[in-house]
Amino acid sequence: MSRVRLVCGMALLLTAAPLAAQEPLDNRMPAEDPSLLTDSTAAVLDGEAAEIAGQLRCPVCTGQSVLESNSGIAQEMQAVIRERLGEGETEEEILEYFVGAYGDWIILKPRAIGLNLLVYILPSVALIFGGAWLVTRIRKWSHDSPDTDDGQVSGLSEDDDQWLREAIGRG
Amino acid sequence: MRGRLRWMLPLAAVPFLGLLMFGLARNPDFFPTPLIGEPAPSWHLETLEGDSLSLAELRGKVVVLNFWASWCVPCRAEHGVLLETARTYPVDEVQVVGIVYDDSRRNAQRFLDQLGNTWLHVVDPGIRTAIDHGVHGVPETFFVDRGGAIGAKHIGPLTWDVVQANVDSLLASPPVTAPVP
Amino acid sequence: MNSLIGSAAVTAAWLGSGVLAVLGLVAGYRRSPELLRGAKYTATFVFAAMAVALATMEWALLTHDFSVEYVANVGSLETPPYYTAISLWSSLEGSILFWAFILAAYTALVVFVQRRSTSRLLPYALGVLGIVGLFFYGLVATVASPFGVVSPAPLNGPGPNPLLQNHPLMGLHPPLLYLGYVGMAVPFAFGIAALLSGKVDEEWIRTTRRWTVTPWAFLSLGIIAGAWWSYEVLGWGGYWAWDPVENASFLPWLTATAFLHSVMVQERRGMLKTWNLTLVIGTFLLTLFGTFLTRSGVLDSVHAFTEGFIGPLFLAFIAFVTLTSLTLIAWRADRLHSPGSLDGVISRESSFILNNLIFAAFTFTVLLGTTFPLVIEAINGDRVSVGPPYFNMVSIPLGLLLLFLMGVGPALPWRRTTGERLKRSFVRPVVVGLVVATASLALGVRSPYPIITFAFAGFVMTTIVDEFRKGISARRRISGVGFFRGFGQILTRNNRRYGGYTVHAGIVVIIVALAVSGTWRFEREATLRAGEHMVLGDYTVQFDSLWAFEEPHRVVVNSAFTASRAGRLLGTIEPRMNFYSQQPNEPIATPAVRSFIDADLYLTLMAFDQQNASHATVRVIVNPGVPWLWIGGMIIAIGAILSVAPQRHRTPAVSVFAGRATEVPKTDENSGVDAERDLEPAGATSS
Repeated sequence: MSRVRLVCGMALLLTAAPLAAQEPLDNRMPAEDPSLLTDSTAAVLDGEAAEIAGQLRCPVCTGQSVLESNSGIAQEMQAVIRERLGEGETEEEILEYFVGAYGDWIILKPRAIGLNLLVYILPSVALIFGGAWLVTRIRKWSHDSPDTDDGQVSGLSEDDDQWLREAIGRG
Repeated sequence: MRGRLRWMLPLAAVPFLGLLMFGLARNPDFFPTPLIGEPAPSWHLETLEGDSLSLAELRGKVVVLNFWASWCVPCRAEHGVLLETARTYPVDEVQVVGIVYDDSRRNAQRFLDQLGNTWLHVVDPGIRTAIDHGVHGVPETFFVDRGGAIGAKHIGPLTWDVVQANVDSLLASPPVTAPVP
Repeated sequence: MNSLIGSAAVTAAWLGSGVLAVLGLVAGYRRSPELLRGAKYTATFVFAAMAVALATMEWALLTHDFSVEYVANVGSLETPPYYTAISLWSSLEGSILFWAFILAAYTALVVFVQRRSTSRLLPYALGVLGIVGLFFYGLVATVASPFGVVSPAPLNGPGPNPLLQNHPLMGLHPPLLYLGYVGMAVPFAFGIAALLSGKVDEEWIRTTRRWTVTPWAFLSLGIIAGAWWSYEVLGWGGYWAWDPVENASFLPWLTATAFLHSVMVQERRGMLKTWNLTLVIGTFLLTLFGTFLTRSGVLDSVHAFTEGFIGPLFLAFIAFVTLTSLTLIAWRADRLHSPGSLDGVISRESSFILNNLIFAAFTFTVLLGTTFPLVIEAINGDRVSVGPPYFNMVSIPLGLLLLFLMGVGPALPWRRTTGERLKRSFVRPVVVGLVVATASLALGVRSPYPIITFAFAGFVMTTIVDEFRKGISARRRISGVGFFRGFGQILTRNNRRYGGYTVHAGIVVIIVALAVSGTWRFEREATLRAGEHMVLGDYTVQFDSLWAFEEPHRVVVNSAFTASRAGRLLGTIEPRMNFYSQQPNEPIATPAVRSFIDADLYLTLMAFDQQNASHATVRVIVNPGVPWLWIGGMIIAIGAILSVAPQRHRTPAVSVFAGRATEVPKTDENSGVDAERDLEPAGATSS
């Protein structure tokens, strides 16, 4: 079949290519050596496993989580998560395992300890102080305001009011 | 805002600018590992020749644990350094172990046939051992002390200076932790 | 030859920009019309020079002149013409050239639009644009020059980065983003001009309204096009990853959006002068910061600078702009002080002020999260990551607050309101919101955020519809026109306001689409043999066949799946995997997307059987709501066009209050004085 030959031709192109990349083939190549490859059919992440994978950073990607990435290592990490869940480990224990190996870098949401607390506290502090400052300003502003009557068109229904303004504005 | 203090306003930006300056100066490829001083993750794997090998068997030796793959170009570059390592240190004191990362046996073997092989290589199905070690990519090398604890980690291709400094210091010092039973 | 022309042109632009800076600033200081005229000519000259440079580069790209360094780096004979043309922005030097060209174009456009202006701000603004240009044209002319000579010229080049030549949207996303980024230099220049001239009243704001709305719209569309591009190319079915690159475009959007609202408070009440200047300066700085961030390798990024000089130069320029601007604000602090006053705590101005507080907090949070890994590393050398789980956690509540305010603000009158009016404006929207919340609950939505989102969206949409309804019914009564004429009339006669509401509607649509896709997205990955199928909810996907073919610049592995939804056949869906010669072992997956009115069916080919094409691994994602992200983007575009469109001149009214008619200011197209001012006398309801 010609299409198969084409695919094989491409395989040649692939193997002959300069070995430039830091990463292996993203698409898992066929089972030349089955022991080294995973079974993609197993890679269905559901519920808790997906939840955990979404919190882990793919070690070889830029800005993707283990859940999103289709790199080999991310797929394996998904498999690790599934296995450990199967063995009854909790989410915390599994995250702990990955942090133990990769450090805090692997967690996409910094753990709320030590200096990391800053990233959680500072936004609220900013919002609260900003809000408090604003309240004092608004108080001051509304006190400073000369309470004059400003020609409000009164005694009209809103629609009439609207109509009137339109009429004034545009004729 | 209206006093003399207002002239301090521009100073508010200085810490931020300093941070950016720091950002320019840093090395983005450096990842500290939490494993230093910890017992090395244990493994029990099959060698390329089909024998079994585990880290526990190597207790008492300094182990240079090198993650590599045949598709990785820097691995090619550092191969000479590993050959040098295996040649320089007696095998009963320093054992070099290559862990094949996400690669086929055939390609790995071909790579070694081309470039030379005087140490042990194990295959890592599902790259689990690499994940245990927090490997980001290849090559990465761990220096394990005689007690089975990780003394140092090197990211990227090895140089002879790196190997010598780390191996000599592990050979000179007593194990950091008690041997893993 | 191309190198020579290009280099000469950018050098001329660089020198011209220096002249423009001096002429502009001196013309402003001496109030000299002659010098101003000189500055205008210079700006036109700079634009012409940059146009020549850009045209030369495009010509060199399209004719494959590999003696030009940039062409040698990103060009290749095999790349299709379209992707060759857009490879102008596929790499750093070309991007900066394009960037600089847009700056020159905006500057020339300012000269053209303001050609009759006698404003004191104009010369200063041109001077500031000249200074900005001095930096950018300088980069292009020196350290980031794309016009270097390669000798001997190679016969072929590697072609652009595969990721950037895999989808036609790449031709849209960067230009839109750059038009947004660079456009922010114009309001910045006028803001600085206000500081320099000491004329810190509302003039600079009126002058720059269109100059802000336009880049804001480009930025919004650029962000959306970028999201669309990642969705169509990256293969994981997502559109936003809170990546530093994305955050870098979102940050100036946040401050620019805050600015668009807060200027209205200053226009009406003369308040928030310092704040508005801070916002416009901050927006411009964030566009610079974004470029620096994503291009310098300061944060993990694929687009690191190759040359060591550009990062430090960028940082130096950021430092210069920051310190100079803040010093100017400090210098003019006395004039900027405005006795603010609020008549009522519940009023439109209060809602705008609150909206600005939240936008500021949002900006701060995203900036903090984006740079936090750097902070930690600077303090103790540790590496941490701040990713989507963090950003989602902090941004959803802030986004919901803003959504809520989007409904409140426009329905509140300026200055003050009464309980009666509040009731009239808000009873219907609140009821609709509650109904939507109940309906969501009844339909089985259990997580709080989607329910709140839908309820708020219902609330906001109702206020928007009410505003339109009120406007149309007023028109109908005045001129006795039908509903559609009335609709058309409010859009053309008060386009700023109704354009703004249309933008709001587009944003509500996007927020709802985000909530829907975030809540109901589901996916499955399976390896199928030919003829096998998998089932996802309503959908069935069957693997038919797999084949490969060669194109000049790549090898394509094409798979075919037959899909059906609820028993109805959808035909063949063909996700691909493209192997480019530059990185043959990192294929670029090209997902295939089938859009419905409510959802996308998204297929990515993950792996395939290389030996006999008998099986394939496919990731199937059902992505509800996603089509509405792009529809929302289009609504925003329509709204933005409406709101910057020239307003129709109005004839003064004579009928009701003859005396007041004379107060009606003539709407000059450039003055930015808005119809709302007289349409809505102080204290009026939301007319």
